[in-house]
Amino acid sequence: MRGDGWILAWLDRYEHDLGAIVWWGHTRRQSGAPPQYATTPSRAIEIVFTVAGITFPGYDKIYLYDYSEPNATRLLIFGHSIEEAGEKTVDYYYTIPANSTMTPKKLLIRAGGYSNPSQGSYPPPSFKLWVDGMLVYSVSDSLWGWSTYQIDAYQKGVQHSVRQYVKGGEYYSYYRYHTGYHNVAFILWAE
Amino acid sequence: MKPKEHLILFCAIFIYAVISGLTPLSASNLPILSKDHIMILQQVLFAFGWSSTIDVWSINNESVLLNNRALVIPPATPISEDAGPPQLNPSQFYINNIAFGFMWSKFEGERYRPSTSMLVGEKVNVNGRGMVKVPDEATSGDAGPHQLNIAITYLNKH
Repeated sequence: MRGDGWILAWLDRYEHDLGAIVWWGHTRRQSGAPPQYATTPSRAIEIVFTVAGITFPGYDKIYLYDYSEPNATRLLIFGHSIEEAGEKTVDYYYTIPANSTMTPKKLLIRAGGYSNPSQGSYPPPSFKLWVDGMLVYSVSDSLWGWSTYQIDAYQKGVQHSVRQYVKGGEYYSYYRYHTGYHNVAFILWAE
Repeated sequence: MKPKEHLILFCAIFIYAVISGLTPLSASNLPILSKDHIMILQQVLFAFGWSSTIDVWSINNESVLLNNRALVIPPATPISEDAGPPQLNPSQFYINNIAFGFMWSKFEGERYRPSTSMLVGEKVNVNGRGMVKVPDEATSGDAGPHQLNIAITYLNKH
């Protein structure tokens, strides 16, 4: 699994020729909010089944095992994506109520960004993220790619705040920017 | 109610409606919908999740049922079984969904499958003559007359 899609390879034990390697990107070909039309593991598995000539049992028959937290019974993913030719900041919030039956175990931030580099001596692109007012990262690489950060900001009964910022590379003159992309996903394992 | 009182009441409601509509809600005064939500998200762009039980969370003030079929507890012991017969002729390389492909190998019998479809594609033997072991010693000899009219680009079977 990559940040920009899924790569699946499979091997039929009785077939001398391997199946194809499937890459399925995150490009959405229909309108609508994720996850309806974004890439899902079920969709990728459906492609594999189709190529292998096996009847796909249906999305609701695909189950997910996660061995990184074997005792987790919940996996929650949320976040924000920014695409902006200039500077942009978005704020969002997550709260686990004090009386929630859920017990969080691990919280990862999967983050990535991209922008064309700045010209000359202009300031570089900038990608920043704060959680509860604390700076988690500040990246200025134009080809940042993806990074993972682990934080423990999942106390129950507390509203946690997120501030996500992007600024694209500058060119020709000040205040002219390349488009910057800054994508952040919070991944919470819980029991 | 007198007409004047009607007017005052109408103005009061109108002013309240305008103020309510113009005042952005900060996160702190957004309503916390229900104590039954296992988690509450506000102003996020996307969210999806799985639970092994019936759980509801709040996403941007909307109650959403978590996918309760997609997360199960893994088996207590690792699965270890016979993986079947070994592959007798695995391909060295697999390419898919491309327009063209050429490959050379010094090993006979290797095949690859260039295809523009994931469903169909004919396996092709690699060119066994195009890749040979280099000589143990450097060869040195006359390379023939020099080129008189060198082109910067050569096209063949175009």
